[in-house]
Amino acid sequence: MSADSLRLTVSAVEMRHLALACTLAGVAPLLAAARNGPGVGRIQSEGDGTWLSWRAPGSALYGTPVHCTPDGTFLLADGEDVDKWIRVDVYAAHLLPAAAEAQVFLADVYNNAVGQADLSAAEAQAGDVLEYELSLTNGDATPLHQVRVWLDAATAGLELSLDGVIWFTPTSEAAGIGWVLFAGGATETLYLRRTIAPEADFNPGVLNLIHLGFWED
Amino acid sequence: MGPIGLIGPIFPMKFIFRPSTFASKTFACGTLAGVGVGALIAYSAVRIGEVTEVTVSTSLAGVLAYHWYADGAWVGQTSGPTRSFMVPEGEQLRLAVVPTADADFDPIAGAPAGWPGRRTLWWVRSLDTDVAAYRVEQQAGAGDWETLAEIPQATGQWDFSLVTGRLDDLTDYAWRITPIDAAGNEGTPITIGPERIVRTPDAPEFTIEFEEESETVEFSET
Repeated sequence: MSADSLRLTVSAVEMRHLALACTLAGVAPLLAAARNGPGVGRIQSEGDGTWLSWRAPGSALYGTPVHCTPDGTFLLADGEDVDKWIRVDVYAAHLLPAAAEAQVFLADVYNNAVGQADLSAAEAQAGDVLEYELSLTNGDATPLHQVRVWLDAATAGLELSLDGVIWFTPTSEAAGIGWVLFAGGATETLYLRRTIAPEADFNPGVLNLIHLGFWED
Repeated sequence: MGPIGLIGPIFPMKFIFRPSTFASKTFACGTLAGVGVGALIAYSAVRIGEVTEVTVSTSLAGVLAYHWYADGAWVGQTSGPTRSFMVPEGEQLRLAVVPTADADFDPIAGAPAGWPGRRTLWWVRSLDTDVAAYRVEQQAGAGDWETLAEIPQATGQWDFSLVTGRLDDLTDYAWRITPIDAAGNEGTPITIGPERIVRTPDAPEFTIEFEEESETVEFSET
């Protein structure tokens, strides 16, 4: 069980919310939780170099060091907010054999799986409605409880549905839609609909932020 | 063989540019906007071949850091007010500079508003020992793959990066990085994209005039 148990995928490809660049030798960043937000995070090694920890952009605290050996995939969490994590592959033979630190650059990703092709001015004038089918997968064998999905209040025009028929616009965890029990290894479908109103202003900078919440045993 | 990881980051942008085909000289063009943390009050640029050296001055005092953004992509920081850029003949560069006395300034979170016309390609090295170089290629639209660079493998270097040239708005781009050995055999490439380039605010429309007498270039937005 870990903070990245619940994975959002489209066509079997895990969605990437933040682009990553730079790392420590021996560490290949795979995915950063969207909650990190854009900015400069830091990854550090301690001791013999195999203890790694993560500090999210804007955070003052490194998370609890994780012993990253032998080679494998590890989750490093921030010291202030454990939901700000980064998933890395570690190649222990290439780690520096001492304490070290590196900046990791995170930037928002636009035009990802729930993005869309640009609309021409004429298309924007007419408005548009786009639907996306997303998959939520519990990557662990352990069941998850009270899985909730909701939208960012600052982003207009989005709706969520569990069946593609009845649509909701929850903007808080309390109002979120979802599943009371999410079995280990299970996959469920989530529908997202975006409505662009006729004569809407041109705005290529809209992030379709989807919030997820759950708890574990 | 193949790189073991690869992601293309995207960094935001703002303003000022520089011209194209003319052989050097100091020149002034456009207006320099102070961006974000510190105000810029003047700048100059000197071109020698494809290298343009830009110097800015700011109203800030003390120990400063200068964060440089080329066509929206953060390209690094300097402790002094001067930085050089490669600008091939016929190309232009929109340059933004954020001077700051804040040692904790985050150049990504604090980047000037807007979207870049370049991409920083970044990848982690191949673990194969016979890799001699990485071929970086770019495809625009449905066109042919064009080689941007061949970057030699460096012993002890874990990751590599390359900033693309300026990209056209509303065009789909894809990139791939292929490891090659000394004999030219290709390994398994990794692909980034395709991604459509969208920027805001829209790139300015401007005209450029070269005055032979003064050897200066005048920019005017239309």
